[in-house]
Amino acid sequence: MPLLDIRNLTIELDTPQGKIKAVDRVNLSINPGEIRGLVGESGSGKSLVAKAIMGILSDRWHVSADRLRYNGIDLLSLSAKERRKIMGREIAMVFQEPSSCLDPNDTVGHQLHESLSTVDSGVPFFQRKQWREVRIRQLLHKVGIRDHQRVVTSYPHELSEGMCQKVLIAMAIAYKPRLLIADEPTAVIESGAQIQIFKLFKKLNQINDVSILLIDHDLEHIKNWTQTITVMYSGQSVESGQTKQIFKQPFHPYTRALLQSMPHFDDKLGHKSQLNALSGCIPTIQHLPIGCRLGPRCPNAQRLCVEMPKMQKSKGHYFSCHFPVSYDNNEKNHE
Amino acid sequence: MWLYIARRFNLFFLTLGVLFALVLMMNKAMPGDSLVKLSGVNTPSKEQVVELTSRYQLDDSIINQYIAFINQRLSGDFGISLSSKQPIINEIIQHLPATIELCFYAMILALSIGIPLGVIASFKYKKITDHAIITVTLVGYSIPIFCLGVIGIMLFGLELQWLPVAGRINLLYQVDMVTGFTIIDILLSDISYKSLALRDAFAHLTMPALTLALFPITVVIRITRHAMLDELNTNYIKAAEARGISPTNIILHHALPNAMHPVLAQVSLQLSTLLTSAMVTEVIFSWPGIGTWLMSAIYQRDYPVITAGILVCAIFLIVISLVSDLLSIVSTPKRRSVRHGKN
Repeated sequence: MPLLDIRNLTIELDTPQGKIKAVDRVNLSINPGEIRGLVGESGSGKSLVAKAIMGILSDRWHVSADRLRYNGIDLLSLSAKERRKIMGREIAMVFQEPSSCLDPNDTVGHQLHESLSTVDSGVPFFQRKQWREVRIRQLLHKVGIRDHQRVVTSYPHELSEGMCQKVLIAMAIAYKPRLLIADEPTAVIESGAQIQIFKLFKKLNQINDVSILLIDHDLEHIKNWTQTITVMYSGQSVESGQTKQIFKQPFHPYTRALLQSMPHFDDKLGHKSQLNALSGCIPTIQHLPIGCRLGPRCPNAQRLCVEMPKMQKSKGHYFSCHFPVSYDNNEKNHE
Repeated sequence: MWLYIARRFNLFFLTLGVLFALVLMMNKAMPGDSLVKLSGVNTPSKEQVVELTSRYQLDDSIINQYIAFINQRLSGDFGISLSSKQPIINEIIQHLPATIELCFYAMILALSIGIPLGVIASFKYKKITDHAIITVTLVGYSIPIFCLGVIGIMLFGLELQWLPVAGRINLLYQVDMVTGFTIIDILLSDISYKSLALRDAFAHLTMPALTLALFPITVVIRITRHAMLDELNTNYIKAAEARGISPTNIILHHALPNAMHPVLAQVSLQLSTLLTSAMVTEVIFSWPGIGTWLMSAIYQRDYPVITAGILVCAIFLIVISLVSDLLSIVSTPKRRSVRHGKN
């Protein structure tokens, strides 16, 4: 049974013009011990999906889903209190814009203290403070902060963005969660330390069996560190499957364009020639096309594309497209 | 931070300078002899005229007059009252504590009632509790203070006879004035009927303080609610929620301390309104404060007292705004570490 099972997740935004489906029937599932990547351009609804899982979207957003289950528990039917319990213990999230995610009025050390739950630790109450301090030191070292003394006594505005991000990662892994949602965890971290963070995630995944939902738009990271990926475009999930398989053989035109946009050294790209990219840009939320939202930008689009394609499955590889690329060749090869 | 504080003090002295200039100009514009208006000595003798003219430099240029005026006022010489012939500084010392006492209790009431209600309203945003609080606030916001005071006197003072309608304390109790604050004076004195006197002083204080506090309470509720709603939508609150921290903890330890900054800033701005309404309240409840004193001075055309009253009230407000500004810097870690005090 998957740890996180999402089926037809729809997130709507209240606007004066009526409700707009910012995320439209997205499917996502994470098995225990799996690292899944969630890929897409900025504004494709990746963070919205993550926040919907955590249940921290503001009142203007309406979340509905056929299934939104964590470990067999229907998250949407839980009361706020029960949900918070699960969030604290089992699911942790690393946010974007790290410095805004720390209370500006409080020291980092105190916020770390607060994140550590001592209830189940079995430590007698008079040793808890010391126990927490030791734990905090270990956690900060784990995420690559060496001068923990300075960091715990600082206020968030005294630390760099990258430092705040590391602190947030430390907070997220402090619970020993079973599912970690990392929303662009390394976007503001210097590249040397990025590898360290990903290694940390990998280690958590292998030793503690933590499942990870890695949201990123850096395809290199996704390729190196995930086992399965889901590709989103403009609030729709267009393709999902094994990372290797998708990188080798994408079926959806968007996925193919995305992969082609990665510059390769071995490509014979002429001097001053155009880089590979789809024409146009991601539609604004007020002007979403009907049917497959890639329609206006898709090189393969035909009249049928104004209807939403059904999810098709081929050997554990899901895609929703009427005219998949390289699909027929693939079939022929197998014949 | 220190640079900003220095600049703030600089501004403070400049404001004082402008204030003194304005008051001197106003004094000059009032009808009558400058000498009488400045010193308060009606029909001075020849020697007095010579002495006062040299003291206020009245024969000299306006700049020198201004400097002499500031020197006189800062050394505590406000002249004497035209009507009572008493030195004005003594009258100020006698009346100002009563006003400060009234404003202080009204402010305490406003904060201790307004902040919790504002927090509750923001927590129950767009629910029935929130609507109820906002509706009641609107009603309180709209009632004029004199109307409320008179209704209070009629209902609780005359009809139900629960509370006394005038004065600070019953004349039966002989309390020596030490600080001018009745409650403190009673506690300091060694009278045998201390608890009775205290109870009487509080009974006298209740209605004026409540009347005066109603408007600030509504303002504090609205600002707190607004600031809290802003805070509750920030990323760090969402992140704290995602970490499973309890709502009580989030509100008390994260949202509220951050929401307090705009609240304090607004409240210090509201103090001038508070002082104005305090004067009205004092007149309604015959509270022997600056307001009553100033009102009677205005009726009697007692110009030295009017200028002194304006000076004292304005200086009081400027000092309060300075103090609240300094408090806000010291309590905000982000502002503490920035040179110019802006975020």
